[in-house]
Amino acid sequence: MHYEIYVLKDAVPYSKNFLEINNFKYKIIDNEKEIPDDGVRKIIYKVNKGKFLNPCPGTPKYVCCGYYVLAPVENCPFSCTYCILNAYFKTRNITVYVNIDDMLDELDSIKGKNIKRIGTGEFSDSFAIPETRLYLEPLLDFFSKNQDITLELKTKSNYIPEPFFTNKYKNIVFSWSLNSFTVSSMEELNTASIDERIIAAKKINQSGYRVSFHFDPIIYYDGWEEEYSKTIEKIFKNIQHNDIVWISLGTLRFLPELKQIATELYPDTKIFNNEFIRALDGKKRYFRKRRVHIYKKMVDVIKSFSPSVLIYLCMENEDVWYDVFSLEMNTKKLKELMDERV
Amino acid sequence: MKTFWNDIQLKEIALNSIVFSKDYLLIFNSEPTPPYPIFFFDGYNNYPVFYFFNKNEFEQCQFIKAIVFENKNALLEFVLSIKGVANLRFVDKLLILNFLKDSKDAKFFDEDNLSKYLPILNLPDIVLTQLNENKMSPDLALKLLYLNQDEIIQFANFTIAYKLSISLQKEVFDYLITEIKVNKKSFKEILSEITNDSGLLTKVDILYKIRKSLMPEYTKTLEIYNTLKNSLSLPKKIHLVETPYFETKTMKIEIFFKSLDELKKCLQDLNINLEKKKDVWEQIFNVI
Repeated sequence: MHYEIYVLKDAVPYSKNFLEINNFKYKIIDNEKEIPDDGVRKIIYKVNKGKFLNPCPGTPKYVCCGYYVLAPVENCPFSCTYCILNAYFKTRNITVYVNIDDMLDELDSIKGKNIKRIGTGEFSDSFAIPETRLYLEPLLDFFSKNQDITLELKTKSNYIPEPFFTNKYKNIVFSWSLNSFTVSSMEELNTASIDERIIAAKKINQSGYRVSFHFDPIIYYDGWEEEYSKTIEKIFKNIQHNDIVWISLGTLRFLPELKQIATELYPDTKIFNNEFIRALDGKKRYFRKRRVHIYKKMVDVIKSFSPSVLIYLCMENEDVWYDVFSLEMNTKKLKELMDERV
Repeated sequence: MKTFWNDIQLKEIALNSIVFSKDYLLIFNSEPTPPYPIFFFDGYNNYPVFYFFNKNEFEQCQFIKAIVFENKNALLEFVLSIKGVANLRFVDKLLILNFLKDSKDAKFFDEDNLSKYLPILNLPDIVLTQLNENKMSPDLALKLLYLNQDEIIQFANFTIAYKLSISLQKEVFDYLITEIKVNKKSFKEILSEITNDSGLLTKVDILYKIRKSLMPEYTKTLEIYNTLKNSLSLPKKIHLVETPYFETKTMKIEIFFKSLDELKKCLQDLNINLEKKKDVWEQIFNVI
């Protein structure tokens, strides 16, 4: 997909070479207000004056895995109806931060600080735009020199950049966000199909990388159980069980304002026509008993293929954890569990 | 100088204020004795009556009875010099923005991303009044545009009659839209269902009905829980409180007391209750 590129004046020195090597057309601007507000998504190159790396914002009163989020890109070219980014960012434009040296300095500063897991898939898709190449090489260089920190790259695409095949990075985990076939085709617009994602996962797994999968958000509808089971079956038919670092589960949850935003952007979506309660963090969630029911079914199906795979719940409360796994879980314990896993 | 105030219907006049309506804009800065100083914009044309370039000049020209800016920037500057942005009511801001929409000042005035709310100006006055009195949220007002004018008025009357808070208005609206879109019911049908046609239901009854429809699993659990809670027959000064929407299993006991003796008595009563109603307590834990 082609997007118009706007480069803020102070970002030019950082990105000029990249833009010219790739023969990208771009417009230099003084101010973001110069960008036409015509509803068409654009890419903006700018200097990040804040931080690149932050602990996952988590959500109060819910258990978080405690990983760190690296955000060289904000916003995503895919159009998932449920995506929280629709409510987080006022604009649909994608921001690419170009001061990569500052990002590396930040990464350098965390050495020895007990940060074991970093991911880039929180505020964007890790591979969905060509600008990934702007920072990929220095990032891989950092992780090859710092093998005690693992980078999780999360995507809904089937694109894997070439450098991963020419060199092997033991501390890189490739991760795909998965869903049922129906949800994927109806609600995850412009993304790779579930089959394409699993084939990409198989390819990278066969070249020696570990992978992970995220069923998030799991959406409840008539026939969900059978359809999600099919996706799970497909994973285990294609991927070496021992190479699956973890599988996360999270049911649909959203900021209340997302419903309006999403239904305006995607009038055909049906995912908000369901029973939701206002949870302790102010987000809308399925009723707790329903969530427990969903997780138990998912866990049973996954365990039927691989009893030993690590399954965790993303942003769930301690009572749900207990009802699903008979485990007393909290953020500290989950962080330790997952740090040990990498 | 052309005067035309005799042709204008004055909807509202207040001292030292600016009054915006959907049809015209009035500004006056002194005791409003007729004829009024008027800036008139009919939505299509400015009527050039007199020109002035700053507020002082205007104040010195006491003979001016009616005036219109040709230049929207100057008008905005004048409006804001009399009445700061912070003092403008929500609908007033929209009216100014609407007035300015083709000028470059529209962007300046749109710092709060107000332009997305401009369609609100098409809503009936009853809704605009609620907005200006902060009795309805702009986001809900925007959503009301899904309904036709009659339905909007019925909805507004309903929220006023039942004194619904902003969050409850939203809940009722979500229910209406779900029923319209998913269950293909008409607006009239739904309203008559929730008010039971008799109009005798209380606000609590109505909201319960709505919640039951929007959250069947939760309300079913709540009903069982409340039945069990009632059958505990807890002493008056002891309350059992659940986590909202049973989002966790945690519950709390609230004890109201004024003295040590009273506290001891409450705890004693609670202990007795725990023994006597053990089965019910266990059922409660199972239900949630």
